[in-house]
Amino acid sequence: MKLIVMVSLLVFISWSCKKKTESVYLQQDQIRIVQPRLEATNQLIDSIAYLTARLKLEGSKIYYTTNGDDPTENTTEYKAPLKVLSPGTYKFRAYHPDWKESDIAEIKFYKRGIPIDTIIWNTNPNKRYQGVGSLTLHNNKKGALDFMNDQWLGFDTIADATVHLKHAVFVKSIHIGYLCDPGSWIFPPEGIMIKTSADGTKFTHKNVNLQPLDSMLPPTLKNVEITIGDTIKHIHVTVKNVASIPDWHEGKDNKAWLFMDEWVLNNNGIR
Amino acid sequence: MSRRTFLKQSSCASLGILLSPLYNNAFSFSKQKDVIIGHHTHQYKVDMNWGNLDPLKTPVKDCHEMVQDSKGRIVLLTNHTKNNIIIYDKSGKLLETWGTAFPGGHGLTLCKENGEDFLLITDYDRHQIIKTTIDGKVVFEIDYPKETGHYSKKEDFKPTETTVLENGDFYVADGYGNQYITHYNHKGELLNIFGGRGTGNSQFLNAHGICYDNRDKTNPALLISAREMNILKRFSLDGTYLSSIPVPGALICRPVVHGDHIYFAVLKSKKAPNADSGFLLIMDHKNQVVSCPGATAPSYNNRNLEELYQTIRLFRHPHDVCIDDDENLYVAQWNSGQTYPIKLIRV
Repeated sequence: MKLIVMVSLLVFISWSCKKKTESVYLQQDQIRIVQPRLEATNQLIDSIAYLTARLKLEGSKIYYTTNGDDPTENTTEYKAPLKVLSPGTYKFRAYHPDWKESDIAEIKFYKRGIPIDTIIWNTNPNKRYQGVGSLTLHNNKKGALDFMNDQWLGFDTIADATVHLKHAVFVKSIHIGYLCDPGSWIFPPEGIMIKTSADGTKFTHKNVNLQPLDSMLPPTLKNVEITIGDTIKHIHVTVKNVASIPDWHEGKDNKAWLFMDEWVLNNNGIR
Repeated sequence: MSRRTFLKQSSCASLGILLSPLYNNAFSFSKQKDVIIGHHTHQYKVDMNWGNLDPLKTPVKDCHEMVQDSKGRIVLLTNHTKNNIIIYDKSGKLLETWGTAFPGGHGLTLCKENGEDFLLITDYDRHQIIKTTIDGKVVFEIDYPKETGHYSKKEDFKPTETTVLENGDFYVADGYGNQYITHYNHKGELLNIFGGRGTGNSQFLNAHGICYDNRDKTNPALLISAREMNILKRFSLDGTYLSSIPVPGALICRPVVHGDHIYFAVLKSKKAPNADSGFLLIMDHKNQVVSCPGATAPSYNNRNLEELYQTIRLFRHPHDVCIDDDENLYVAQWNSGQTYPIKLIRV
């Protein structure tokens, strides 16, 4: 009798396993869940910001890190909005008992920069993407991943402007925030030229060329940091959009969009 | 309960397995589970292998739309000009192909006249609507509606969809062009034009799809998707705006009325971190969203639908759904890496 039960059990197990591997349908462990949605009250902070992570999928849990490491199920579980008090990188990932874990969602917080007095534009954004007007690039608000978000200035040509400060101050670097969303024909800048001056007559030049995109990427918030390291009052900034979209993209040979959300002047390490 | 199911359950019960809460962990060496997507009354298993063909012999580019013809066959329109039309049986077996002249083949609608099937194809690249027999013979072609004064050149007209009434009249949505809806009689003669680009009630941003809604026989209407606006709009047959049904977060393609429900492919979620963030959406007879396969469960707060978004990375850019006579779905996808349609089996 014992033998019969054992044999029956083995037969059942092998039948059960065989049946599962034979399914013609898609299996849950082949599919990734979507990364958590992140929302911050502010990404350029001088006091406090609140950060919310969400994924409306029953049974999913969200884990995060604040030290730059990739989140796992062993890192801290997200349960309530986080208070962000200092600059840094927060990374989140969602897990579910049945589905594959999500990709990582990442958000950066920056220190609020030196106040910009005015930005005088020599070229204009496209009339469809004018953000919140002339303040868009220095209102201390970052854009979202959606290019329709009102914190983006969208250019289909070179963006050229002069930034004026109230007084000459030491500026360590300028941070230029942009959107990389090749699926929407929005590419990183091709190159950036800055000319800095303390008196408005004698300027120092600097050119930075960016690595061109070579494949499709999901929408990402990016930035480029250009060292200045000088006491200045005026900065002339020229940001070149990609003039000819590369061959691998459906929009090849057309010009790409350039979307920017914030220019930040950093003064860390003031002398 | 079938005899087979009964025997299976009895043998499991005799071993005490069926009742064991440990069954899943202790006896399932594989953690695999069939994916089931959707909510409430509309849930589906997913067959990714349906309709896969040899891409060297029968390639696809974007799979734009699908319909089921009177013989029960599944007809697919792709913009690959080696074989613009691919006809399958419901099991996914290839039956025939035709069509090499639709580089912008986008909208596909079945119309039946005196027991015979015809197709209305919109081609945004040719700036035309083409009526064909079900085996590909051209019946007529319609150019841009210059006489309306709303179009100065053919390039302004990029039609994306058609819908047909019982009397043969049909409507065209110019979803990639100047956003007008044009109304023709069965001979292709222009009767009316309305809509146009804008954010007003009777205007559109991306009037991508149109569908004749005769669920209420006494009050038939047109359903028109304003995809970029995440709104489904209702119009009377004479082009008068009736109402709007917001679907926050969902870039809805064409509405498809089947039974007393409306089905949509949603190209992508409005605020998604990934571009390929599409899903499906199903409304009931009250135009309330009841199921979103691949996305958040629909919920209403004070009669307002909460934002919908993709939750699993299954669909790429779903572009159309076809519902067959077994209530199963076929999903055609745009920009998905030349993949063939996906079949969903209702559970």
